[in-house]
Amino acid sequence: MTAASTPAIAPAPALLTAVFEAASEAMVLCATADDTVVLANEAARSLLPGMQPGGPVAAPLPADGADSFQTEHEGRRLYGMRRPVGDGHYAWYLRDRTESAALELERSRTAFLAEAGRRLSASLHVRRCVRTTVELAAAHLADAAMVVLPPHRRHSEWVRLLPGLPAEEGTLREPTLGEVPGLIEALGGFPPIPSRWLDPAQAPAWLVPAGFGPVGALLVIPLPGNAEPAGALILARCGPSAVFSTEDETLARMFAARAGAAISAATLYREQVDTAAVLQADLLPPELPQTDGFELSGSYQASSDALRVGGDFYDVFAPAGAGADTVIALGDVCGTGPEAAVLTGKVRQTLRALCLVRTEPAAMLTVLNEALLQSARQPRFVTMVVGSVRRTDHGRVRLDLASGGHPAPLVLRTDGRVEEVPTSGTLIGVLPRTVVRPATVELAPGELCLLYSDGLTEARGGPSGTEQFGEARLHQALAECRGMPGAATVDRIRQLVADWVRGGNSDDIAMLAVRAPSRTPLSLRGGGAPTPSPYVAAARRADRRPRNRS
Amino acid sequence: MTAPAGTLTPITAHLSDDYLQLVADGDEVGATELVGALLDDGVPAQRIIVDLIGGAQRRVGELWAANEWSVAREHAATAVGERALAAVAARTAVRPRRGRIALACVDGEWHGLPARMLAELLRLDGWRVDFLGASVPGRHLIVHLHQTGPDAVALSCMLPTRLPRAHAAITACRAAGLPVIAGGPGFGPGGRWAQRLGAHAWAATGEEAVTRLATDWPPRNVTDLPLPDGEAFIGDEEYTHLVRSRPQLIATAMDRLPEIYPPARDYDQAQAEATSEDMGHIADFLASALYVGEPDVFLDFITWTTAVLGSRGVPPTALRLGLTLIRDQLIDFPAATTMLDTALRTLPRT
Repeated sequence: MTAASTPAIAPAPALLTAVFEAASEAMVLCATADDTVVLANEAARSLLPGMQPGGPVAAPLPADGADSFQTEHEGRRLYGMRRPVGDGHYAWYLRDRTESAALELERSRTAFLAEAGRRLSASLHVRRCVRTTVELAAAHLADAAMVVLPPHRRHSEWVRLLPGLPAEEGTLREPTLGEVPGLIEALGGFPPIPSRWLDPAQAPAWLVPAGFGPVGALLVIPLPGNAEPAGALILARCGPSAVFSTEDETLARMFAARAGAAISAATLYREQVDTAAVLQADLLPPELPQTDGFELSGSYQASSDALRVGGDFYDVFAPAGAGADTVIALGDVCGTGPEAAVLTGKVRQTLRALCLVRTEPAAMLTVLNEALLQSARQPRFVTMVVGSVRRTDHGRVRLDLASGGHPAPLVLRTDGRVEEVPTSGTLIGVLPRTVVRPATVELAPGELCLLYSDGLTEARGGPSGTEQFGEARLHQALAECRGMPGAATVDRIRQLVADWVRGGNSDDIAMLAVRAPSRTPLSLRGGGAPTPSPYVAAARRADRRPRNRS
Repeated sequence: MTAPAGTLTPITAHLSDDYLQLVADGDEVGATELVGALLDDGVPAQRIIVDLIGGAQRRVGELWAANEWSVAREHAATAVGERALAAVAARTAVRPRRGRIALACVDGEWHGLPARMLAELLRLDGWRVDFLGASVPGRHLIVHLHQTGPDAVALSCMLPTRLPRAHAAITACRAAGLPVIAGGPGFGPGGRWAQRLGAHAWAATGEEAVTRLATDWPPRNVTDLPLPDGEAFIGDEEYTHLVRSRPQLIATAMDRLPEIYPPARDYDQAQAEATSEDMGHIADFLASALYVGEPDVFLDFITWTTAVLGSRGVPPTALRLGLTLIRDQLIDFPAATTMLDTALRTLPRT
């Protein structure tokens, strides 16, 4: 379709002026020659009341020939754009951005608080929460930020971030806290004192060291916590004209509420962890003593992900006096988790006492049975193996073992045979009378006796995911460990079972191995050793060189 | 064993051979005495750890792969290596002057010695190191992080089959606001998969990790770091299916094996178990490859397995049969079948 030519119309000047006047956009038409205002419509006059036709183009319109500007004018945020219109004239188009600027500010504050929430919730560790707090505060609220924690034993810990420096940490003595205006009040849980009432000149030199300029404004805010303050946040702005506006103070308080919640949650968590650690300490597997004449190696794996203790246990009791044997024990309390762990603690303590009176393993189980029957609030039984270990002649080791309803210990012989120790007995803590059949084992050098809990053989996994690891596989695995040190043997079996269950949830697993050390390093490779290096020769010499030789 | 080119090390080939002999004999006392004598002589602890203990450990791995050493002997040798390392640690005190770092092997990763060596190297470099050990469950790691508040986490992974669990650990560390440096060949050549899984840095060797951690590390604010591209695509549905149907997959493969390979009818229990374990490995590496979306995870495994089986006199036919039996059950899974087909093509003809 061909367009008909537009009829040439020339509207009257009055009509054009009326249209100009009625436009909602603020417009100012100016003459280029002398920079005078030719016309300013109503919208423009309301933004710039002083702008009159005939008058000069004056502030806030820039006089430097810039094409755009953005400025505060009479409490409004103005944005302007200049366009040439025809020969000899140009026009300013103005916009009032007051509201969108406020919106932007609000948005940035919301974004800051969201970021603060996200970062503060990441850790449950007090020090990290405090560091995050000063990092956020220094980035968004002030030039320098410092968190002071409530005094503990007359000392307060602090973390500070100064411009351009990494975070610093330290402690303050309680009396020095009073040197910062408002800090005692903030740590005492009083509402924050407005910044304008705090004299920055009174801030002590240690707060913001010289070189960062004089502190122009100071803000001290409590970090609210659980019924008592989690600490105080000190914010400082440098420079003589620095201030904290009311909006700044409000934002800082909103931030402090989030930081305080995070720090106090972390504090609570730390207290719980510390308490749990103290209570757990005696229930953890013991450090195995260095023994003369035989190697001891243990492994313990609690079924629970979070706990490190469970219903299985092992313990080793050093000889009670000259001529006495080392006593070893490994057992399994019915159940798992903390309840079972508490009972293992009682059993271990009872055994320790029984060791002191030098009882035979079988008699120990009988006494333990009576003790448990009398003390248990609810029936809980234990299966366990107790043994006394001593070295005999020619590097051999003798074990007297007694089992109370527990899987029989295994013995790995030098030729790779795996034997079950023929000891058996009834569960401990159920029947008033126990029957225990003890057994004695002799280990030749290189042979090993393994005590284990049924979590090992009953671990479910394998190709089908439901098959038990089983005794046959354990025997096979142990047989393959011929010639290996005790620790490596225990590690290997633990690893095989872990691979078997492939990360699946299993029961507690405990292992304790006693091994008679190989008499001489057995060359598995065969053949004579090549000429040893001077280092080996030196290391083997009895007269070792002194260590300070360089 | 020669020193890496360009490194001046006092650990001579002769010395390395002597040490390997001690390790081979399971001679703990001899090995600890040897490193003690070297320390007395002023040899830097780092060189003893990396060149002597680490070098021997590499040789041990090679000897096992070449079927010259049994698994038991490899384990015994590793135990000696750990004792020697402990002896070096006991003799060298360094005042911590850097931050605190938590170091762990990924859940299911039992090769603890390389990580333990890194722990000592970092300690010698002035880090305060918490070594959490081999195969650290994710929950234990996170509990430790919240309780001790370290500055960074180092994760070791030697086998790519642990990558899904490594990913879980890395994600949890990121959520706790901590930067992660990944290490070990499990993360692929050049640490390719480490980045994909969200680690902030990667190091091939212990010494590289020390250098990397000494320069501009850890990053100040980790939660603001962007997640790597493609992280969102990790762990697709084929992976999920494969993991969930693993028992069935292996059982069916074992049932069908005698049809296409008659000698399997006469397998005793040990042989049958070893075979189904091998099928399990195929499934696990395939699953990992699908998880990170990298066929190389699977193909590298096939290359490696071919070599290991070869040194044990097992013909590639066995592997071919295993791959075919798995492939035939995964017809509806294009990514998995593509990987299996590629693998079958790379197998040497017999």
